[in-house]
Amino acid sequence: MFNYLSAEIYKVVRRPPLWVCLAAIFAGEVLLLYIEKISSSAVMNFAQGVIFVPRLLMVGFLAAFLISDLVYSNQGKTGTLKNEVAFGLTRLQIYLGKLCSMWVVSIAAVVVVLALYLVPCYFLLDHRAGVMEAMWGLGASLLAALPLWLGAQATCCALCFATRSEGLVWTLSIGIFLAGSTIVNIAVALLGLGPFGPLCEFLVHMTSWLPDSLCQVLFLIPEFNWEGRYPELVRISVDIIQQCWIVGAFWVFVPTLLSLSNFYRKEIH
Amino acid sequence: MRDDKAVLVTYNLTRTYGAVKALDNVTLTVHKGDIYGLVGRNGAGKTTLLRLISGQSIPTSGDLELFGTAGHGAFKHRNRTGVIIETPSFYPYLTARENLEYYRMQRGLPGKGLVEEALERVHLEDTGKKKFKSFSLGMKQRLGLALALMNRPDFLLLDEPINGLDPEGVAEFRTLMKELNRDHGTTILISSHILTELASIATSYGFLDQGKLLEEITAEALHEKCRTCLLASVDNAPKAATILETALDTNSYDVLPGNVLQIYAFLDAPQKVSAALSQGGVALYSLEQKGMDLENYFLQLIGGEQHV
Repeated sequence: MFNYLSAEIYKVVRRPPLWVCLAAIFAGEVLLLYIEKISSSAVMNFAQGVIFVPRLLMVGFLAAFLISDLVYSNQGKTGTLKNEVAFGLTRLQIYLGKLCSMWVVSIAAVVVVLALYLVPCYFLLDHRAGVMEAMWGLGASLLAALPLWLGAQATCCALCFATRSEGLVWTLSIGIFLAGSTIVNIAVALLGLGPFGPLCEFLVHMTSWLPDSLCQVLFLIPEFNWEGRYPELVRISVDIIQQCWIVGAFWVFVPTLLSLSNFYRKEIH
Repeated sequence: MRDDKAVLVTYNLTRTYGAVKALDNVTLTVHKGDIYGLVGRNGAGKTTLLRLISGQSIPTSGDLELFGTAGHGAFKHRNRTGVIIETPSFYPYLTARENLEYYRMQRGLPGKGLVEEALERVHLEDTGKKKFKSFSLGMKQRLGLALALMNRPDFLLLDEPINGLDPEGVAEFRTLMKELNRDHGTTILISSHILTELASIATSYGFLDQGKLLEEITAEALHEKCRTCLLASVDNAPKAATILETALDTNSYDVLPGNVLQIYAFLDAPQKVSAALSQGGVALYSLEQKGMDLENYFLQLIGGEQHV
């Protein structure tokens, strides 16, 4: 597995889109830091800079889609999977190798992106009370978001192996992880016009378990105190973190098992 | 040099796609040290067979043994094989060197020198920063060969490997195959439409048609069969055969479908054959002297003048 991961990382770092995206994110962070710096220091400080991060958790889903694309590299169309199979790598090794590579790249990207934002924040913004609380709040948000990101990654990986259409992968991934609750709400609104009362209730209840809904819960938790003092944080509950891990585990295991069982029987061209 | 040990054995290997049997109960053996030529028309099942051996496809029924290991365990020996099946596939945004390095790392092959060695072997060492997507067909084919050779395989599976190669490339390929077989004992299974090339290197042949294996034969036996002969078209082949044995005291002949006899004796005196048949009451429609090459042998085997 180590050999497989090394090879995938060797390949990914040679893909220009990776560096373009990192550069774009870095440019966005520089702009954000600039705006934070020129804001009144009575309002903006390091703690508030930190608790801004959870509001961008949904970006993790977009990153998952992109990293899946970078690692998988449209192998269904290029036909390079046959080189791996022909050498004797089992289909399980290939699938898990790709998935683990995606996870490794994702986690590395999160670390880099966070560091590129938080380190300048630390030096550029005033430090006041509430820093530790903010850091704990950020840590809790990340702990809750991590399984959702891993689930998004696993789902994208499953879709990559299942279909040769990149467009379909992106459409389904966005539909599930970025627009899931919106789609369900629209369905509820339409179904509500007919005799589907119990179904609508079930769907409304299920909405709170969708990844994008959970992310929104996470980033609404840190609340600003607009009087310019340190932010008063509403602590992220253990229940929410558990819920995120359950949902994340679902999106890791179910798509993986379905896609893997299909991949085992698939003709490799 | 051929060895009695088998590198590959297939047992009633079958692959169906819906109602179509792409491969139908194929049982063949490739011995260690062979250069095994797989001959067949378009759609005969050659690529299907190679895909089953390489693991890209899963058999509908039957089994295969690779280096003496059958069934699911055969995959463990695939790292001793090198494969080119259909058009070589690589990452379009990587160079030749980067593509091979990627696979070297993935396969855990030691030594970065392997990549350079493989590229030099196929004369791609000077491609520099050129990405794979900009390669010509011949360059892609060479890179595919480089990948197949990189792990110094004991068994090479090559599907139309000289596609896209220029005449110089074809000659180099032929020399390389002979060198690998002679100096390293590499066993080679090669399918090709270009039978003249196959005939110049193969030591054994398998003839496939419509998914079925028609015949397996060594090069020596094929040479014997293809040697110059008299082709006699008669009205009663069994009677003619009896006459050859009793009147002419020879059993150096084969009876072919359609009342045709292939006679390997009396090449300098065909009139003796015609006289004996005539006296024995057998109508002789034609008598001609013929030698066969691989292509004609194959065409005769499949029973018609159709393109390979």
